[in-house]
Amino acid sequence: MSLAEATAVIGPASKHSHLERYDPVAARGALVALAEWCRQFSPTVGLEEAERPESLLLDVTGLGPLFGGEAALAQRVRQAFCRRGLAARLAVADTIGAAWAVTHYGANDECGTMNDEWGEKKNAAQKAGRMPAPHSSFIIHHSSLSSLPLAALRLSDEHVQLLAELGLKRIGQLEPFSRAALATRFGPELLRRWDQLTGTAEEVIAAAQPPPTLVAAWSCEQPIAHAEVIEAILGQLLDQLIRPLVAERRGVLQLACRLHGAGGAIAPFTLGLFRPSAAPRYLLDLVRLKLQRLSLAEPVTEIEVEVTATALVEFRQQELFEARSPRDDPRHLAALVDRLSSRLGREQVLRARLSDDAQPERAWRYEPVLDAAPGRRGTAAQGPPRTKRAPARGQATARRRFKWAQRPLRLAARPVPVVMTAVMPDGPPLQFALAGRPHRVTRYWGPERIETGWWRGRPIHRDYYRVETSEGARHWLFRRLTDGAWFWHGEFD
Amino acid sequence: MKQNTLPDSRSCLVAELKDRLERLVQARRGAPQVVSTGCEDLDKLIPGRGLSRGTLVEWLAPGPGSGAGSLALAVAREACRDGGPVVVVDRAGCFYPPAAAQARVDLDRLIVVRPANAADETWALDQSLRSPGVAAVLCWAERLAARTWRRLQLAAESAGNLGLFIRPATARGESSWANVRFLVEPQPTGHQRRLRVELLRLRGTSGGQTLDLELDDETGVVRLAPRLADPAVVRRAARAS
Repeated sequence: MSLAEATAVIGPASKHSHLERYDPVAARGALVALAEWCRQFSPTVGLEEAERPESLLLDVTGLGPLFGGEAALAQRVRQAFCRRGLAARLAVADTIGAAWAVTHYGANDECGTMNDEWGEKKNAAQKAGRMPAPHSSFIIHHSSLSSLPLAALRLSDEHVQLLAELGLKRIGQLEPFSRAALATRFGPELLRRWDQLTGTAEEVIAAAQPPPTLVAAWSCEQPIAHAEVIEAILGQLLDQLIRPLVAERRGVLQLACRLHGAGGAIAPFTLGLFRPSAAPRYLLDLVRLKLQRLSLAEPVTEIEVEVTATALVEFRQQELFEARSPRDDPRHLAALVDRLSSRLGREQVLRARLSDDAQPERAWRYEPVLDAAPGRRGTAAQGPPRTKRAPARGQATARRRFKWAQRPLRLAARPVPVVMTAVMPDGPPLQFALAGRPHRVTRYWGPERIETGWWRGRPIHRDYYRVETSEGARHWLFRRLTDGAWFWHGEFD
Repeated sequence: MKQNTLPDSRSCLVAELKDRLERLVQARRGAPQVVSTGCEDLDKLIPGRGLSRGTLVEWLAPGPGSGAGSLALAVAREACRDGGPVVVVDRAGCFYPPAAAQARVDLDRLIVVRPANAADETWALDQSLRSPGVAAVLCWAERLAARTWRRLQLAAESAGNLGLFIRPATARGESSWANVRFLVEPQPTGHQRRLRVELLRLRGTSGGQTLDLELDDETGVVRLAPRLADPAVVRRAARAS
């Protein structure tokens, strides 16, 4: 649903509306997690085969007796979803097609609630909450399905529209035609879907499996000391590891490499990525950067590479008229962050966040950029709307949250003690010496008193002064209130 | 008469040739994208009305607390308008992000890289300048070898990035591959912070122009300092009336 449609439906001034960008990767991820959770009900849980799957398929063949009947099982699933705060539509049927049709197009329009509805063969359109008789036979009747719209056959939109133009709207209307006639006119897809609905054609649930562990190892006959050889082996191992991932459209998010020598593990290292990548060459480049930083104490006898985290690689369609600049393309930035983090370490490539703390040293904190990586949360990477919105929001937070007086652009990691001349013991600064050079203060602004509470462990009591020297340079100095000592803390560069 | 026209025609010729040369260079590179310095009057000093992307810019400062960093940060903020983050390469670990936030730099668009040594610093600068996803790279660099400069300049040119370097004034004598070199001298006056910016070097021109700028420390806004009348003129005017 487009944003315009959504606002039209809920009304423009709705206070309770909350709009969020649709994120196919995150949606799929959530559904896979839900499938994993549903394995408590059935050993085979899968996602429907669709571009944007939104249904979970549970194989409940023969499970009825374990739960006291299929109806009781369905009821239990329904309650479990309710407890998780999820509204679900349920149907137990003999074929995937029938269950899908009833959950999607089963007639509970008249009640229109978000409640679960479960279609069950005899009266496919049972209302929410009403349980079927525990011993009702679970046989799909054509009569109950034939009244459903043709879209319930999981046909493409073009098919449904074409059929509608010919006056065919309900499944039942297809019955008078011969199969051959339908196949020649509408292609094999219609018949296949119809057969899947009735059970003539087989359809299996592809179970959503938890991702397997991906490890590749190489043992050498002779210990290796040459970096080039190690790199070549790592390249081959990466190739091996990535091949199965590519088929699943997944990419590597985190790698762990372990090099073993005769005396045991010599150089384990992990490699985190900003965005998932399935390009062996790119990964090898990053691994190489890491390797260059390592000094191998002894020749390597065994190399092991493990993929510890993967994520779906998002393919974004290119726009014909690229409106935004290449600088907004998150891929370029991701590549840079990956490279920098891999050579310098993830702790050295940082994003700053302001925090609400009076103490200048704690007024912000750094977080590794990799931690905030879009791929890591499983959400879509910075798309154009997000980056467009970002400045306004960022500036607003900066203005709203940063309520302190002016701060220097460069702050010493720890305050530097200075010898200060002041007229009065508690008076303003007059002259100070920094790195052996005397500076005469011509103007000052302050004091700005900053104190923190005793509960912080090491409380501070400082009077900060912004001073201008006779040369026009501006510094940030403070007097420690406990003993009157002066410190230089930063420069307004 | 003849003596007068000769230098005139010669200077005309030089100007015309320079113009043609400039056009040829531009045709080869494509129209350069220009980033404002954040101050209109400072932009006017530079042909093309701003700093062109794909070049390096140097700000020389006589000492700490001179305000050169704020001027460079103002350029970085302007560069961000075309998208992409600013990468701050901060080896000393002195960069203070709250001050950048006060200067209206979006912290969501700021990446701070903290290399441990000079070799890593150069490498990080090179990588950042080479990345097409970056708006500008800001660095307090003490000392850079001529070869490193050339490498960084090529990196910036390849991706069309802007490299902003704040350096001590002692680097004035060193050769540099920077396209523009400013000297920032703080002026001890008034309540507002006043900086004298001298255009030491600008590829294609002689440079040497100076401009008095006022820097609002709280908002990071840079503007031309109001020119005060010469005290002698004021006195004379007062006497006349």
